Amino acid sequence: MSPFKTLIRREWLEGRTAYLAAPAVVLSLVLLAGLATSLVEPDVSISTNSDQLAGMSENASGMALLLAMLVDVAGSTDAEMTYKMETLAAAVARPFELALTVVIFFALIGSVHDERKDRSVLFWKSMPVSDTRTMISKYVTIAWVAPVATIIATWLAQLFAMTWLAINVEDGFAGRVWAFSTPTANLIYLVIGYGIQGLWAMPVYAWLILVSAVASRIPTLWAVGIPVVLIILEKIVAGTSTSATFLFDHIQPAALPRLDNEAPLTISSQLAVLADPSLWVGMIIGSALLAAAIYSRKRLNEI
Amino acid sequence: MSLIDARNLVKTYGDTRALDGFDLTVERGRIVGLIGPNGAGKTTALKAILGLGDLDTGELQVDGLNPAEQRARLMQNVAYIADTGTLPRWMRIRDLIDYVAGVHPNFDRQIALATLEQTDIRTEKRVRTLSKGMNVQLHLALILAIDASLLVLDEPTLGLDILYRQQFYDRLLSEYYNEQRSILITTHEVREIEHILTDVVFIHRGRVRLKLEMAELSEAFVKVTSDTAIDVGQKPIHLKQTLNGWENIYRDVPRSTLEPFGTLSTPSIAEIFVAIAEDQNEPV
Repeated sequence: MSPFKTLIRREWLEGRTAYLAAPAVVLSLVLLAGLATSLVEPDVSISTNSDQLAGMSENASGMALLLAMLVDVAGSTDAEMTYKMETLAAAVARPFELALTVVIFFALIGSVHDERKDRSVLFWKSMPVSDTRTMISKYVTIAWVAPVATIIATWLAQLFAMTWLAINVEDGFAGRVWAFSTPTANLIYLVIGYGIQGLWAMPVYAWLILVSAVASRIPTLWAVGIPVVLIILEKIVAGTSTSATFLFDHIQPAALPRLDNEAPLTISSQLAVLADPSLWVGMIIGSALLAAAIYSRKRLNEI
Repeated sequence: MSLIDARNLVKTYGDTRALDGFDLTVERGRIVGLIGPNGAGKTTALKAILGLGDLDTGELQVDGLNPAEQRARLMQNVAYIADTGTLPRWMRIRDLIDYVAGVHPNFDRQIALATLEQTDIRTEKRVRTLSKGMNVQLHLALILAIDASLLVLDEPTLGLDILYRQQFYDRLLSEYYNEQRSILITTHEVREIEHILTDVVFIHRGRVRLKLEMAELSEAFVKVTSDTAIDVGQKPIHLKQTLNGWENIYRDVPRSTLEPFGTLSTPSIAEIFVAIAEDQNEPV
């Protein structure tokens, strides 16, 4: 294996449990919520004359009933179906994304701090690997390798949701569900979305790595505390909230499926984020923070 | 070209001068013991040699490289155990071996595996499951499989029992050492390494007070044991009254001069170390 692949593999091994467990847990919950509630006999007799329930299978119950009501396959126009199916995919993706955000936060916070704390940094530094390559391998793994399992699990959950909806609508409407399902596009959206996320969130990710490399105790507190203090200072001194807006923007995903999307998600709308000046400003800030983190690891800040 | 060439190294931490004009030259094929009290600057000197810290001033070359600037390249030819228990505890041993094999061009996996086969260490285990002694055995197995020209060991056997310590140094000497390689060791337990050293370096207050080949030791230092206080015309560097009489340690005084005054012997490194640190003739 080449040296850089070896470094990526080392980072992957260190975080593997969390990177796999988070999406696995969310996927299990989605499946459980879906299947368990579908097995329950409908306990309310529903008038099949209701407009809302037109086109719905008589056997639908629990969450499936709710889902079928919300999507309303029979009563929606084609444009509405496109929007609703996309929203469904985004809604399914959201819990996976949140779980991964938590995992990534702690992976970044621990990325250098953990090896300083258990002093294994002394072993890593006895290897012929520069601090720059080590730190870049940490970033690459956490930003782009960690989401792979999440992407796969999200996609499976989306497929499940589509299938589940198709099963729970009345015969004849399942075809309409499938016609508006876009599994291939969903997968591409996720891959591109998480790919861009690694660049878009760079100022935030690099900040967390820097804190991890510098803070001697409770890095989480520093990681959150310093930005909060800066935001408050800016508000007091200049009366503006540029830093708050910037931070809030870059914490949010920029190119992932969104629940509040007004226009349908397309590959070109995702790629348009790459032309957003805020992405480039963020990457410049992120690179500077990462350089500072590399410098700090070079100086060997043992705890 | 010397393997280590350090000239006038200075490193301060706040008001403390950890290194204060530190000079050291180490050639190939030597086993050098770095001896000094706590806070003498041993660890700071080693860190500088390994590229783990910046210096304030001074010139330092290790294997022809500047350690602080070229650490990654230097580590291809320098192996070290900074301390016990620095191996990543979360890692499986086979993954650790894969890692070293993946990043280190001079690592021989077969040698490491062969060494491990002589131990009770199983490669599917995680490092955290190993006892302290096994942890050192593993680290040693990894390090000894690296074809390096310099091996640096900072207190490698701290906290280990006597059996492991003895094995550790025996293997170092029998399996690793040759005339192309040098080993630099610091330890509190001077007695344990005394017999394997070719050179000894005494550090005190950030400076090298004495560098001596072991072969020269018995020439340079003589201990005179006598029943009564003696005066040989030269001041001893160390003087101690014991239950049985007096012990005087002399430096650079011919044995023939000392012979009439009592029983002559060669002081241990520990005794010389104490003598140098407390030497009345030399301000420290």
